[in-house]
Amino acid sequence: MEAIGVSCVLGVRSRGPWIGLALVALLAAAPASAGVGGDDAGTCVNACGGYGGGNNATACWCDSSCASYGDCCGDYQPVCNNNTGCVANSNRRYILHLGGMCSQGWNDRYAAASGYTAIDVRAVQTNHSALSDASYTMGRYLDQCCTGSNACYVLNFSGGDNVMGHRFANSSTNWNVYWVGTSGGGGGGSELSGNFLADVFGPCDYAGHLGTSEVRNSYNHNDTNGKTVYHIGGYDGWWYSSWLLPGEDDGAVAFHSAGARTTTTSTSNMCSTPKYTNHVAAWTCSGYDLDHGGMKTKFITEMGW
Amino acid sequence: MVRGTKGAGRARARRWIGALALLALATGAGLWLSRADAARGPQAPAPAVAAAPPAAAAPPGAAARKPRPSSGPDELPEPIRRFLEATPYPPSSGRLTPAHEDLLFPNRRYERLRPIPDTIGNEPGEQVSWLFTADHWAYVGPAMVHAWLEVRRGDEPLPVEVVAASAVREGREGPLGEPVPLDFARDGDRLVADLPLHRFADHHGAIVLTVRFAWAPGREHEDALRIFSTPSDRVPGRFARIHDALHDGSLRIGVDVDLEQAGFYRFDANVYGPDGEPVAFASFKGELVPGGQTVPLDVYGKVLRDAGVPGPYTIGEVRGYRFLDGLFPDREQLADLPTRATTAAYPLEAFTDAPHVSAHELHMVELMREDLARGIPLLVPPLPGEAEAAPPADGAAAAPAPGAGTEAPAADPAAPPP
Repeated sequence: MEAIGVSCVLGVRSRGPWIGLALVALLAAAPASAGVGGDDAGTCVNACGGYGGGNNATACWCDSSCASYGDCCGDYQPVCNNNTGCVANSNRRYILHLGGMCSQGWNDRYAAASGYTAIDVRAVQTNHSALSDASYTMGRYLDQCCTGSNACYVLNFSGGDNVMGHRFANSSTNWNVYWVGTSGGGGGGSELSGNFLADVFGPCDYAGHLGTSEVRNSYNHNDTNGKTVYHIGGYDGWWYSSWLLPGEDDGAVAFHSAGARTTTTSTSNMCSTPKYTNHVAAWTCSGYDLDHGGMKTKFITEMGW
Repeated sequence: MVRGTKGAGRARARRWIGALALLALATGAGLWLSRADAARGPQAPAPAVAAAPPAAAAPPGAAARKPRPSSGPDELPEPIRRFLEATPYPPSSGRLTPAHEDLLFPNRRYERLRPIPDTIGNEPGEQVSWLFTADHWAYVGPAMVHAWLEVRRGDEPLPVEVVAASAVREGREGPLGEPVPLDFARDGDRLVADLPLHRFADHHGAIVLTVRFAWAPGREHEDALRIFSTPSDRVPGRFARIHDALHDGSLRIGVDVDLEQAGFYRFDANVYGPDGEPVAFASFKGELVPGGQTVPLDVYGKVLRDAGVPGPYTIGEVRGYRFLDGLFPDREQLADLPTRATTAAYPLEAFTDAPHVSAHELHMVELMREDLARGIPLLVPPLPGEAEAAPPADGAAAAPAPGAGTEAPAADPAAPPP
């Protein structure tokens, strides 16, 4: 580790040529790394070829040796190798799974839908720069998985709502996204942002960036490139969170966020308006008796996937 | 303003396309498909819609609430119908209503009074709540940030003592440099602090304001809020003026800008009716070059027709930024256009009433149609109320059509492409 630490300053690890040759083969066969670095993991966005970027980017690399060392940042493959697991313009159908705050991927059950291939979006959502980093990475996936003759569904959870919205609002590409399904969406921000949210879901610097003002001003939520975003929310909040979150909540986000309302006013109805343009509730107005974590795969199970 | 002949011809063409679309909605997918093919020009005949589109496999225990499967050929499949119905306007334009508070009041803040955790569960009159907020989210140039702290016990203002307060620059790695003290002064029930951003002229991005206050002897609470600053030397351009014209059956808002930086820009504007009522929003996204130029923000004609509000319109909240993809911070903001402008008095009939149809939408329909032909279930989540009314979807998805290929579901989502 010391050697890595020293070379970190230089940004490139030294290695013998034999290692490089061996790594070519290893890299070609290796699946995308799950990523290292824990809750405050680094990212390869703007860091390819060297040490991972981002706050507390500990022991996470974005160079061609990282696969053999087992220390690639979670988004190394999509960001540095443009390897999303999708085959561009191949007449295939994909379901992109976009995880939430403090995650480096989906890390849960994938949708198993006939005719579709499930894709884990390796977007790092841990650092101060998480929204812009993850949005950039998500763009790689959308460009490769959802253009030309390909088409996609996008399923996101929690902070994945923000990432998808940010990407829609800041790109002029018309991706072939049939629709977006959102569980426990964080697009309206959380009154728990900061220490409260970090206390509940594990500390990461991005937890402090999910306040209502920051999230709601980070992108134009009404711009979904014309795609419909379906929302479901849970109401199994807990005693503590319900004092801080207005209306029904799942312990992390209130219905005003999960239900894509244009205001933060209290509501116990997922269907209540006003909503952002092209955002609608799905299945039920009352929500589900689930907490935030329980909501994660609810869209998948409701779809029968 | 008189509509030009060329524009009128285009408007008629759009209405014709729109009429076709509406007809297709009523009569089924077949017409849509032939129209899509016509729009693509001479090509090999497209395969017909599957005679019996496959239904989705029924999720266990969710018979009445499952996603709705594709329907038969005599009606437009639900996913296609819903997709078309959801896109009557281009993504860059839509109805603005009083409910769009986010657009009507851009750059507002959303903090609210929250109970201090130590007092949660107290009698309502003994619960202490606080609000720490500011006048805006984003600031451009050497502006002044007006922040304030309110603390209440029950419904009554509670005088508190600020123990510590500061502002610090924030970069990608976290706090940058030394915190700058933040001085609060009493203003009625509030404690207010003004932060001149010229003191942070060297910093582009977030600035975190933190306050720790004592709300009872020995009882303290801390909160932080973030503002976003684009210092003068990072402002990528400026607005000059706006003007309007009829363009292809739509209202074109021409935004004159003088840009110093090339890049991907996003611009937004609101449109109000003669009585100040919200009518429409419009946006532009795209790559721009440096220099003076006019950026078009088109309000699609049908948006205005559906609103039923003729001109003159007032254009307001013209705003924009240069998007820095993958960088942090990810935008450089222009100062909002401080003035509003009034357009010519357009009659509603000047605008197209045809639903918007784009090559991308036709491509999407074609992809969905291909799915049906290949036996890939097309599913769409039911809207509340539809869930219970949805017909049962019996049986499993049909096998893919010959030659359609097969997909390995979720074999290894992280695996490299073959």
